[in-house]
Amino acid sequence: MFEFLSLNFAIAGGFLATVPFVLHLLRKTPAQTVPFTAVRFLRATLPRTTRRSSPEHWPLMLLRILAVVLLGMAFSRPFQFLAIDRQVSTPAGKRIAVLIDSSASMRRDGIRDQVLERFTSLAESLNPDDLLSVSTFSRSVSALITPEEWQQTAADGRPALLDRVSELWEPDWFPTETAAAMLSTAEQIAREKTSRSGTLERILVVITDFQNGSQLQQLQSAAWPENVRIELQVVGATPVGNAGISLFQTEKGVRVRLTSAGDSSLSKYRLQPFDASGLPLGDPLTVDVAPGQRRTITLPEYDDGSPVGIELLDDLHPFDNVIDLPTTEAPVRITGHLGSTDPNDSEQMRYYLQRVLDGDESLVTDLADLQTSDGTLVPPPKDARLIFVTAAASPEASDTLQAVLENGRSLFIALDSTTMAESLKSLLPAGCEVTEANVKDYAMFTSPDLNAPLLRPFADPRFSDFSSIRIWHHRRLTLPSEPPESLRILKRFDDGTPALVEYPGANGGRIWLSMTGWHPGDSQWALSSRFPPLLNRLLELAWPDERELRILEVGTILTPADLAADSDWVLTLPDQSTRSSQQAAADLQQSNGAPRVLLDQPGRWKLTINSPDGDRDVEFLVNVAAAESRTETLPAGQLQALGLSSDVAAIQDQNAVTEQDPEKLAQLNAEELESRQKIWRYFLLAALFCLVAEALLSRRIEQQQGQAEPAAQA
Amino acid sequence: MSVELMNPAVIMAIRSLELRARLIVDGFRTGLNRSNRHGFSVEFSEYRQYTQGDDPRFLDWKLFARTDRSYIRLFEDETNLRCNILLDVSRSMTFQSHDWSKWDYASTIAASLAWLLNRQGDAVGLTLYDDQIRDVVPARYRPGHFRRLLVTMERAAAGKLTDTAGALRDAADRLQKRGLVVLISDLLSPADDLSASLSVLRSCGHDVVVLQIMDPAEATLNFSGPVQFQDLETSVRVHADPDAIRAEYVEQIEAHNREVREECEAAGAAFRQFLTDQALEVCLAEFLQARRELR
Repeated sequence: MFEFLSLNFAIAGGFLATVPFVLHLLRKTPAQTVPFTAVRFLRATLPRTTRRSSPEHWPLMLLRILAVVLLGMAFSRPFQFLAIDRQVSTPAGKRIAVLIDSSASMRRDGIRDQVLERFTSLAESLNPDDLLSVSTFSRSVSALITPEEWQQTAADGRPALLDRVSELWEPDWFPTETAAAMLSTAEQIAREKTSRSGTLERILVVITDFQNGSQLQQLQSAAWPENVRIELQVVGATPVGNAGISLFQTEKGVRVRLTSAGDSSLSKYRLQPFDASGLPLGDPLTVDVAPGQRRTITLPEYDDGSPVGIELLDDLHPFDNVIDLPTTEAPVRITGHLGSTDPNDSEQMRYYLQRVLDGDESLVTDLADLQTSDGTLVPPPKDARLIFVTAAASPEASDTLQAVLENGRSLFIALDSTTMAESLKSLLPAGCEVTEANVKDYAMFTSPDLNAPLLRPFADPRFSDFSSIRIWHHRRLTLPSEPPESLRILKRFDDGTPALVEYPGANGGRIWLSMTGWHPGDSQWALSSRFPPLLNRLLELAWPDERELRILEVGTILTPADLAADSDWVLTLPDQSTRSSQQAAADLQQSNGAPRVLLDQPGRWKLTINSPDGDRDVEFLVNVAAAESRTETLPAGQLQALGLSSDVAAIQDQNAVTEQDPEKLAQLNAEELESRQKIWRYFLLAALFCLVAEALLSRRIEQQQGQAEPAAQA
Repeated sequence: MSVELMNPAVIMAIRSLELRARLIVDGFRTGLNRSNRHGFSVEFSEYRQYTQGDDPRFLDWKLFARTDRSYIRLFEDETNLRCNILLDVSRSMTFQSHDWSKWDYASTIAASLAWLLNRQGDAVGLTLYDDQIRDVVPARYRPGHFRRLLVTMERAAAGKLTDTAGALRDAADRLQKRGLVVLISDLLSPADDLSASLSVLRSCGHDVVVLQIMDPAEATLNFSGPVQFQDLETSVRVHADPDAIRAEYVEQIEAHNREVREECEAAGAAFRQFLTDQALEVCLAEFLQARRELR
């Protein structure tokens, strides 16, 4: 027989079922309208409702009564205590897959003991027929105990397997990809076939802190395997609450962000910078951050030196309380310029050169004029490694440029006329001749040498097309029949003559010679999207050992070849161990032939690139993911909110009451049974069937009555 | 010898009004030939030479003695008659309780009369009316005129309310020459003005025959069960139980019909009533009889 969760609906249905019965006892005068002529001779009579001793059309009445009763029963949520736990076939044990969270947030105090306690309790509840596997997860899933190992291990050997968890489980620094881990494990155990007879109960046990920063969204879009049940065992830190700091870069520089978890009890924190020896540097900064909020802080200047790191005080969970700060400031690059001194004249090359150099806020580049507006020469700054020459030079200026070259500096000469070329003859390749080219409509750049260091950034096909740049005027460079081998043609015009050449200066310096200017009078070059990266590349070549700074999160995969190209490199880890490109084949993960490095710990990483252009350091400050600092536990219904039904996912909270009210327990059991059996659907279906039959029968009766009326009238 | 009448259902099933009219008239004439009441409701009009197959009872022996030729006496209604048929096309004429309506029946009678009179060489005209004069075909005797009468009746659309008195007054004003006026209507409207209107026509020298057409359901209210009746012309609705009010209704409708008859007779018009389930030949016979009563 059935039990009902909401018996009131069944009772109401019973009462309402009397309505069709009463209605069928009453006969109402039909409202058939007949056209007639002698209506004025008719005496009107009122419609009569007669009571009958027996219901009219009793099959129709029964259908209506039955429909009402079935609807009432459906709404009363019936279930049977013939529990589905009573297996149709003999149970074949359980397949239990345990996932233990090993993300960074699990480093908090008190969590490890709870994890081991939960696991031990689960292990003690295992039956000999149960099939167990244990994995850890954070960024990805790693197996600790495979099902094959478990199956192949004798019962007396299994405790040793279980001890592996306490021995090997250690939280790492990665973020929590909970949904991905759950789905992959659930799908795996759902697909497993068993040789056992009977029904195998498949359970996924997830031991996690279920923190707010866990990545769960994938559960909403993915289909959960029907035969896999989830037991979520939530552990928590002691005490609750957490705050963490991370570093991020803005256009205006590096900033520190403090994130407070929603269950934090503090709202005031202190940030203490420290120096290279770990000693506090200056007074701590006080920061107010309410629970669940975050705040961005700009570090002040320190007269005693720059701090190498900063520590968050007052927080009891230190895993995310220390970050490294950039140790080097961006250098100020000084370049020189010989040409127009008016920075606002848009017809001159200087105008566009200044715009590009000013556009990079992260690296300051000063442009120093080598002559005043009246033509007086100014000695070039001694730190100027690159001089731009955009106008004809006096003999004195030419000598100055020659001296710059001899100091190992580099020149970029953009010839805007043959006169300028004549004035700089001593700096041009020997034996060459410069004439004015006859351009019809416009010329274009072609044949870029993408292997040349200057143009290597344009090697990507997306950026290597220079043909969109229109050149109105250019000079024709005629090289001697046997040009120097060190001269390299980087680009040509579409008439085949050199457009940009490179040749060495003295003492390691170089000269780049462009046969056209980038100002509007000569070309569209300055207006092209290729112009700024070309100038920045010139600066990189001129300052090859400048240090770069990148701020990343733990779990990021680094491909050194993206920065080093074909050059050798050495990667220094936060613990000062190193990995080199030569070791890549043996030690590092291969993907598409390019070695990749997983940034698996927070701290300062440094990639030293040994390129022909010179050694270059790229510093990586790797943070713990900010999401890991949001340690407040998600609500119990979060899995249900993501679409998992309550009969799939059950949550055991750390504070779960072990003894429950028997009545409440019985109610929960009944609700559980009802939600599983869903018998209401069958009652609803039967009610719908009755309504359809009632409609068909009513129509048939109406048709029969309609046929009887004309016959009676005839 | 009994006269076998044609089933009106068979006649009314014929779609062509002309064919119905011809069949009715021919059947009427055949029946008349077979009836021992020869000469009933007709008068002698002319001779026709005897041919094989004619009934020898109608041989004119006196003429045979004079001419030594056999001639058949043909009995027809009066010759050179100018007849105008006033036919009601109001919406009440569309009522029907079987497969044909009062209009179908009335138009068939009108077509039959027209054919009968036309064969006699009489001029026949037609006026269709409801609460106004809808169509008028002057009385003529010429080739194709009968066809014109048929077309006028066939294309008549259902009218609205009824004003029979108005139609009679219009006929009195319009008809210059004396003749026969045949009024075919259901005459369910109050009979107040009927006598006066008929008297006007009579005073103009016209002979008037009134043929009232009713449906059996109108006469007997043969409906079962409570029904909401809706008047065809006024759309007035009355909820009534026919079983409860039938006797009362029949009494009233019969009283109305008596009043109509009295009004007609008081005005000097001949009155006949037909139900739509009656044989149409009887209508012709009654018409001729009524015509004779006016003389």
